[in-house]
Amino acid sequence: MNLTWLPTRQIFNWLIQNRIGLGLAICVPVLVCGDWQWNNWQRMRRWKMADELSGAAVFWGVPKANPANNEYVYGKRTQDGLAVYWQNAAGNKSLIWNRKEGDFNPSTFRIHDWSPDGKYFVFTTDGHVCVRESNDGQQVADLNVGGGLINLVWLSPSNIVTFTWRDLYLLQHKQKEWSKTKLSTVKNANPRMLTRLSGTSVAWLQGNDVWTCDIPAGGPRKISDSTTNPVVAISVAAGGALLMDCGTNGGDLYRCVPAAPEMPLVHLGVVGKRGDFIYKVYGINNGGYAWLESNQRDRDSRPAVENKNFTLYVQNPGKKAPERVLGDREIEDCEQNGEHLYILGTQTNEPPGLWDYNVNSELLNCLLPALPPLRYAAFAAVTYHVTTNDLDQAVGYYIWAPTCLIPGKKYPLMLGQSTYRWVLEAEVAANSGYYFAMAERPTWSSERFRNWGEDVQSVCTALIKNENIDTNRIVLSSTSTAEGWPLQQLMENDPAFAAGAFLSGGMGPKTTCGYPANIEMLVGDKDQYFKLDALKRYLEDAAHNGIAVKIVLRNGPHSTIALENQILLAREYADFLRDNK
Amino acid sequence: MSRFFPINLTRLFIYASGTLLLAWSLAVFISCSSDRRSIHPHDPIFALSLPIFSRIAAGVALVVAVVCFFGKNMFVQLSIIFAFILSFWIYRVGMALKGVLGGFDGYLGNLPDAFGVSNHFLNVLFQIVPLCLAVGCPVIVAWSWWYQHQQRLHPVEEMRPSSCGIHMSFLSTLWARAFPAFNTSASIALRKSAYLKTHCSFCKNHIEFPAHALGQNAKCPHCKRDITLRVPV
Repeated sequence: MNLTWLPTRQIFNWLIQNRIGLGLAICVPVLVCGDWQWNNWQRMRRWKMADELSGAAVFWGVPKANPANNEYVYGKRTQDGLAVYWQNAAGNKSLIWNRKEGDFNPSTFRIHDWSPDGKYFVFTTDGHVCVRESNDGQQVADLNVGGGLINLVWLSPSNIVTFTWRDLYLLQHKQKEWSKTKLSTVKNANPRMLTRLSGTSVAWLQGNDVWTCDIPAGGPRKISDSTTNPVVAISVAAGGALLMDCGTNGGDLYRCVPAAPEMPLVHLGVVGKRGDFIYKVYGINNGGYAWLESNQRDRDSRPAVENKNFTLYVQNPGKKAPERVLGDREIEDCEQNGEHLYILGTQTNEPPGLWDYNVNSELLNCLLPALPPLRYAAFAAVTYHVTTNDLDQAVGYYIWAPTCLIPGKKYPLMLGQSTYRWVLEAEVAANSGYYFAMAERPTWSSERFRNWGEDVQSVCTALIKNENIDTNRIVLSSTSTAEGWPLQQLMENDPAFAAGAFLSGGMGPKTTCGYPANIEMLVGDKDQYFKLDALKRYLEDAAHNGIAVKIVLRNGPHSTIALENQILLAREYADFLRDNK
Repeated sequence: MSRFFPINLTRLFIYASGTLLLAWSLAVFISCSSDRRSIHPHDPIFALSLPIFSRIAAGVALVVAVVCFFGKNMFVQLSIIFAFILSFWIYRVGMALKGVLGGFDGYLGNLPDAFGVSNHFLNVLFQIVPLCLAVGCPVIVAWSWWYQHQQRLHPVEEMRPSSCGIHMSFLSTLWARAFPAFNTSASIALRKSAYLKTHCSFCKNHIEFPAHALGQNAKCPHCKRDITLRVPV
């Protein structure tokens, strides 16, 4: 190559004359980019931990097993939505259905029972009943029955009864075609626990009343009134008997046969502790029964279902005391299939996995663990404590200790709030070198919820005495609107709480709180409750008042199921913790 | 102009300013390239989107940094730095008048995230560094003026006596006085340096230089190449 045209002498002279400037012009970008890359490398290390933990809690509901208990279908969160998988006892699995978030309403999605002959399984979403072949997952029917969450039960291999929030339908399979027939309309029925009583009749709960419907005979009939027997859970037991759990303070379990003319109630005993509430009850063919109980109640004295922290007890005949299955308050849900109880829950603060408990053999088998062995993260040790608030009420709280705890060293504290179960934020905090404390959250519609901020404050006061906690570094965290406001008030009133992470909604403190604070918000771009314009105004006000607010947008609505959003949440959370350490 | 400045100190200040401005502008450009979907406030004075405003400011800072590194005239370089810093402080005063209480705390965008530093630290840095530059520019100019003034009052002469061979600087008021030499018993009379003539070994142009500089390396004023000052053979 001929480069004689280059003014080499002039270039050389220029370089010699400007060697200091040139050196700086090269060195400074190298140093800046080096620092940036170093920070990126550290962030990648944090994100590996966050990604690993956010891969947990992926199951959506309890698996549904076929009558032979050797195949089951289950829902699982995917990167961008939800998928339904079929799996057999040998571990072979196949994808049956998947949908992106935004293309359906996850709160209406539910997998229902298999047909009694095991040929079909059913799931419902957005008012549609989807019937699938069990051998290849092919769709055989897609029936629109309207409504939101659909109660569904198989009467026989060719008959299904569904109950939307007001319409009772019979879906029939005749001559290879599925058809629907409306049986009845009950305004504002909002039914729960639709249960098959016989091949032609069903029962359900409406409030605390029990209703039945014998399909050939006609319309619905109330068989138990809440004024005399406030029933909170029903189940069918051997011989078509109905187990009714009555009472809102512990459970008085009754057995009755709705088909009998007098329908005498037989008191089986008290289940659960006084003060606790029964969410579901299961009648078992061997004469025993099981129940899910919770110590939380809502404003209407019903079990606080949204908290999803139940304890499962099984009472086998001939045994004096019921047996607890899995951990205390570690179960999200449970479904019965003959003698098998399929459970979504955890044993030792691991993320919820899928379990199969055989009532007869009393064997507990893990069908699918929630996580493979961890490489970059570790599960934190959780302990339960009780303190009292200003009103002398007992306040329970959980503490997640840092995963690399060195005795005598002080660690920052993150005060969070949620119901006790697998809490991703707590695990990320513990893996980031924080103590994470969580005041036990009353259900959002309870009276106690109004004083929750005081509960959090009293927990904070109790924790300050812990010599391992650095009282100068306390940050707050909340995961939704309802959880956000007590923390918002705490931040407004006490400069000790100088940083807060408001994830999936929740507004930060007033921008006139008078002290500098770091706020991080992670909001869905289609959030129904938080309009972007309002957030932008808040951001402008906060910046004007010297409060550093970081608002990060994620895809999807307020409640998200996509795994990519969970990963983003965990990463942002890890970064927030590092920035405020 | 540059010969009137305390050259080394001024150069140091200009290079330091250029380094800080280049580092800041690069940091802003890097942080603005983040793919995170975040919402930022508008800048309080011009109501521009923060990423756009940051890029404009960083672009100007980059230009100033380039001038600092490669400019020839130190007076122009100092003036540009001072103009930039003055603009910054006018903007900062404007923020205060608009009621922005916390400085740049809420207006740092992705910068703290990109480099793993806290908002508070950056905010403090954003106060201290411009303050140093704003104070540094007038101080350097004032010092230069004082230095120039002192040189006019008391010009400094240089000589290298052949008896000891040591380079000496002395005030012109000490002319004709005798001092003992450092490494010999002889005394030295201070006098104005004589001038010698030679030619550049590269471009052959004539060069005049003080006698005390004999044997030293210097740039040829014509071709700018390094030569050793020798008496022509």
